[in-house]
Amino acid sequence: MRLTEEERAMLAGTEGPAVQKAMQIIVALAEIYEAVELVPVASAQIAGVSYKNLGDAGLEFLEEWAALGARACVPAFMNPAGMDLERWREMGIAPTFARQQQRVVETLGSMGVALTCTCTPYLVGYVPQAGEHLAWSESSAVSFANSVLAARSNREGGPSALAAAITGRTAAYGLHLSENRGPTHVIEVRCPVRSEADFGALGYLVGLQVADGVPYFRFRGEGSLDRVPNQERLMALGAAMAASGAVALYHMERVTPEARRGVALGTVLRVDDAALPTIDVSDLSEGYAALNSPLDEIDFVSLGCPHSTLADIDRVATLLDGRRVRATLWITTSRQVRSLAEQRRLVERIEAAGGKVFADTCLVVAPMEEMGFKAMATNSAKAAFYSPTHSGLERRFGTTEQCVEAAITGRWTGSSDHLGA
Amino acid sequence: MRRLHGRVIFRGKARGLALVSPTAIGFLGGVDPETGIVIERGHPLYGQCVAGRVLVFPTGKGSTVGSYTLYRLSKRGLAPAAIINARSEAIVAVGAIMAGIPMVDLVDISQITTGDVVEVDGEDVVIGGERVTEYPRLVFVKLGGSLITDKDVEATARPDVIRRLAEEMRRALDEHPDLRLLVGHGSGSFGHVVAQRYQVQSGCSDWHGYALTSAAATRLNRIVTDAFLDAGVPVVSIQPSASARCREGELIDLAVHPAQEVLKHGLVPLVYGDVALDEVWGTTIISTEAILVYLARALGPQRILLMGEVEGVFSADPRRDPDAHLIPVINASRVEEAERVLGGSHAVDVTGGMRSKVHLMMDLVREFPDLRVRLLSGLQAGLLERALGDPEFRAGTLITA
Repeated sequence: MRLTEEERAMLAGTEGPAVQKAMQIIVALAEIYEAVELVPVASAQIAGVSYKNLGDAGLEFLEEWAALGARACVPAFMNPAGMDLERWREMGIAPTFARQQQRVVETLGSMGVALTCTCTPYLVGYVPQAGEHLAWSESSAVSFANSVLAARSNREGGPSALAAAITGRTAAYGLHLSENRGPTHVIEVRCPVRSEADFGALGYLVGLQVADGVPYFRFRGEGSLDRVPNQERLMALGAAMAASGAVALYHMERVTPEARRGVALGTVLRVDDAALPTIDVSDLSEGYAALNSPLDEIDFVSLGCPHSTLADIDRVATLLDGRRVRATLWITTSRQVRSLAEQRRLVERIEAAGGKVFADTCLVVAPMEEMGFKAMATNSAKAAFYSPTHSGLERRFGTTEQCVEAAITGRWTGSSDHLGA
Repeated sequence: MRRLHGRVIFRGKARGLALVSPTAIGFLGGVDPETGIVIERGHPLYGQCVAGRVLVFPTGKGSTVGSYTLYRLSKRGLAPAAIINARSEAIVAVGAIMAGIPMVDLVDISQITTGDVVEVDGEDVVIGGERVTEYPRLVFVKLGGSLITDKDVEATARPDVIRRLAEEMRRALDEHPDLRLLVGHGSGSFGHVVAQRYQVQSGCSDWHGYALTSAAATRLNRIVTDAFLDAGVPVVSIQPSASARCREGELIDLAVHPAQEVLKHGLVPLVYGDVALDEVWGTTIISTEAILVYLARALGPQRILLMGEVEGVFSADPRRDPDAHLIPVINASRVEEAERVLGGSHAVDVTGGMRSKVHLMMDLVREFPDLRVRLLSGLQAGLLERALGDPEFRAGTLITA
């Protein structure tokens, strides 16, 4: 492995023990992944912010590393925390948890990590350029950055993303290299895919089959797209595939940049002549069935995984106008988007109906098992996939409309197989 | 002694007893960061403590936050001494680096068995080398069951003998402040009779016998503990059956770090012949000698003193044969000679009598050639004190390589 003089100096400790430890981590990972060199990164997304996951063990380490002088030297920003940093009491978070969570956020803040607390950094001012190398760590964000923005990132781990922020570098392996960005599977979609939920179900099915491969989507016949999928649909697709599988990059014919240009920046995207395994998707019902438990009564509705966009929040506000919810309804988003939504009085309308718009967190990383909910409904395939194991919550999965209706009536209506919104 | 070479993940040097898992280990949720115990249900190492062990497993798994669990373990002194992987992945590698735990991968881990003494030094892995010696003057003392109890009468101790031996130890410790002791005792007429009644040593069909035998051994241990504390010897009783794992009567795993920690603070770990769970037989008995041998591998005493009712090893049973004479030295390398002279104790002894004890010691000194084991009479006042004070003191039978 080749290190630059500057990198060797960091490893030797000339920039202090905090940088040295960070470089030791990056270099060890480079060895494990057989990278021949390191690559400078334009930004780093720091995972392991939620106190639920980090625990006292992680907090201890962060505080010590910060005390040693660890500081980000490239733009770095936080993944969701375990609670809304301002409105945590309304979530039912215990003060002991809140205190520890605040310490995590403060410690990371002292290291120069921005308090974004979102899995959608690309919506709050951190927009990577095509071809830019990143050290991002949240699976849905990595998928979006690679696939929709044509940037280059592996899915970094919590500590390694922080080490990348401190050294400004990561190991050049995996998706940093053009030769690894070509498709491994062709996905022929032949059924209508019409809603965010449909894209989520599709992502769930494809992720299961493709694991950590690179799927190339073609929409044919009845599956033909009537329009380019908007960002919400692409977010839902990517998030689901990263959860049920480990997909960090996908291509979509005529939609994503590398597919449209027929190149993966330096390598021609060979699809037809490459004899890739093909997966036919002609029915999404299997996906819906797997993500649905047989629940009738719903006491909790969760929207916003990945974090809701302004358009998402607008839609929910409209669906709730003049109504009141019976179940607990939470919409999770970034604080920046919530701020915009407040300005447009969308939050006011939602909360007048009894819903809550929380920032900084999501149900995957919040301590949901302590909240006392029994039956959830969600429009997120990723959330539906994780919630039984991560949160101990059984769930219904369907469209935003079905979820809002369930919040209002307290019951789930509609079958497990969806036929297009 | 075998040498392997791996790839350095974190460069360092450490030694300990191997703890080998055939399957991946996920630290987040799989190992309790407060105790170092494996808590993943169904895991082959479930219930075992990784503290101070050379932890050997194919690869890591699970959440990247697991790296912090390794860090926390190290802050509490509960981390593995070293980590060896077949092929490393990010979580364990980063955790080892954060915690400063020597780590190598790309090693053929099928070459290592749980219980092996393993040293990791940079990319080198040495199996079965010299044992850890933390203390320049560490002596193990075994008080035979027939010495401290009346073997002919069930559950009857000999408090005067116990007290005298405790006082001799106290004086030796006062005279020699650098002396460190670890004491073990047999269960004599407390445990043996009950164990025999229920056949605990080879898997009892009535598990009630396991409970009764365990209680009997503990009852004697309470007497010994109290007597030693009264005499001013700071013993800490460590129950072997609480952590022992056996397979077909052989002790394959035992917690070492409680004794290690106790020694560090100048106290005297006190172990005893006990019941144990056996993976194949269900139940078994582990002799004090077997326990001391296991601990000797990890703690590296210079000497082991086996205090018994008789002066040492005789050419024949001295109670029956007037021509029997004391054998001053048994060279472990001269096996046939040793075989000829080993007879049995004259009372019930479920752990196999003098012969098996000497065998165990012979194996041990072959493995650690600088270790000296001496059998002495505990009935002769002053012998223990002198032997503790003077490494060259000659009496009884010496077993050496």
